[in-house]
Amino acid sequence: MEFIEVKIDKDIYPTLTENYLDYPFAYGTIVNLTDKYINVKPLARIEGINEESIQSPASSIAPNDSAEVPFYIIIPEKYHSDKTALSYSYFYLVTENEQPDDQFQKAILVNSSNSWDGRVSDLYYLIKKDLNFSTMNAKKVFNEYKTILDTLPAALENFYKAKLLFNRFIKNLVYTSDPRATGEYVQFPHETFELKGGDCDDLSVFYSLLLESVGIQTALVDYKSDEMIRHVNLLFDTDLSPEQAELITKNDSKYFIRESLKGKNEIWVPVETTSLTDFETAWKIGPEKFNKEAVNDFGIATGKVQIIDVY
Amino acid sequence: MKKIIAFIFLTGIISAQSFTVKNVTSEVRYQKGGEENWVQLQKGTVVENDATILTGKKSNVKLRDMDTEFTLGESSAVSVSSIKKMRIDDLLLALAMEDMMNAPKKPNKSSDNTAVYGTKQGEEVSPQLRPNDFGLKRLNGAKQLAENGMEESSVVAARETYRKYPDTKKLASYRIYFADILYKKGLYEEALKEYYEISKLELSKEEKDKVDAKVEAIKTILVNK
Repeated sequence: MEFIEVKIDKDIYPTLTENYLDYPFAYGTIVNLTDKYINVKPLARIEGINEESIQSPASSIAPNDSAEVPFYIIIPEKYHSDKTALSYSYFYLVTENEQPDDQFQKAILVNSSNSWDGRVSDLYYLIKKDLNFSTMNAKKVFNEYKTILDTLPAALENFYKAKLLFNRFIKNLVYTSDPRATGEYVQFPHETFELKGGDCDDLSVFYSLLLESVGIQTALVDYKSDEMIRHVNLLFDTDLSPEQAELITKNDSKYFIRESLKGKNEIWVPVETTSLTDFETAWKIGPEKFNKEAVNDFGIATGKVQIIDVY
Repeated sequence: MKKIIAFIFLTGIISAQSFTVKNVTSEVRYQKGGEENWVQLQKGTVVENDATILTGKKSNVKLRDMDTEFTLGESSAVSVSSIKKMRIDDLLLALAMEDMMNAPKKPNKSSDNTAVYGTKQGEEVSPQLRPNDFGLKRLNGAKQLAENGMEESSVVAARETYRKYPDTKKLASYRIYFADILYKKGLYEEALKEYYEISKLELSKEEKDKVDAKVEAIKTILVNK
């Protein structure tokens, strides 16, 4: 077996770990030079990330035929890099023997751990990584407000927890632009907490994590109203039914009804995390933007506004 | 991403459509954007796109913008953003959005956090809940959109009301009224789905005959298409 060519499909964003289990990072064009079928195991390794080669699914190649095989990679959970740097990826084709039939080397860009591909759906990986940090901080706040939480009707629990967490953590942050001129940069929630600020995706990721860590479902809202202008904020699930809306507001434009898997309609609330004021203001501004761009301008239907559920 | 975000954040919510109040009779209030309170509406007031207008009994209000005049009758509520002419294509987009708004079909997730705060017992429904006729006023408002030539917009307003005030879905006469608009506009699949839903409600004989006739008519149309 021999390589004809290897194409790198995507640069490496180390934080998007599971992404690389689902999607190949490279494709190799290989050729079987024999007159019999051969089972080939493609392996790959990226210098600085993997100590051992990672095996991708084996393929059977027909005699004297060529084929394209995908190469997958695993980013170790503990891998971290502050800098974006050029590295090398090594590709191997193994058949019957331990020794590879052929190998190929290609340069690859390995981004820093704070780099992001700009896809709002991929912010999920940052939310997932800081779950323990968030749960701990949220618990501290709930313990402080235990008396109030104990006396609330159970139906209002999600809403008031979301309000408490916003007013304790998000309200006191400062809006700051990305520190780098090129590419997307996103902070881990613990960094946003320590730096006391961030931009819209940093603030939305942080608030989403705080809510998700205490069992409140969230969705990121990606506003792509213009090619050059994008914005991210948040929806969260109050777990209230439409009939219970009056428990939280007298204004029916401040919430939206979303149907869950079980067919249960629930009240979701849009929150503008960059409002940098209290929850009430963030909850006033969030629906105004959502109503205009997502609903009245048909942003959801045209794809200019996307709701990305965080699981 | 976001050096320019602050800019859109400030400008993105400025309304493009506003109406001036030409005449007010009796009790008419409005609620701005994300505000909680209702304010009495006066002649000459400019109401922005993000406001909601509510009329009491024997009350009405006449609104005008550059090219539209709209009168909202008694016991009605309407979002100012709904007072507009829509194309059929826009109506189809709005109907499609209903499903797109829903959460993806995945199993309900439970949190890793199992801590329990407090001593609540069971899932209670707050005793503060009370019957609300605001949904009915919303449907009245939607109906008047249709009566003022904004039929597509009226259907969108009605559908949103059904979602936010589920009890209004049981009001057969309103459901038939808005289903008839879908039928009239030639949106037969959408109308048929709605008539099927309506047929499950408690209907008078007249309503049942009307719904059955519409279902049969649509079936014939769809078969011969």
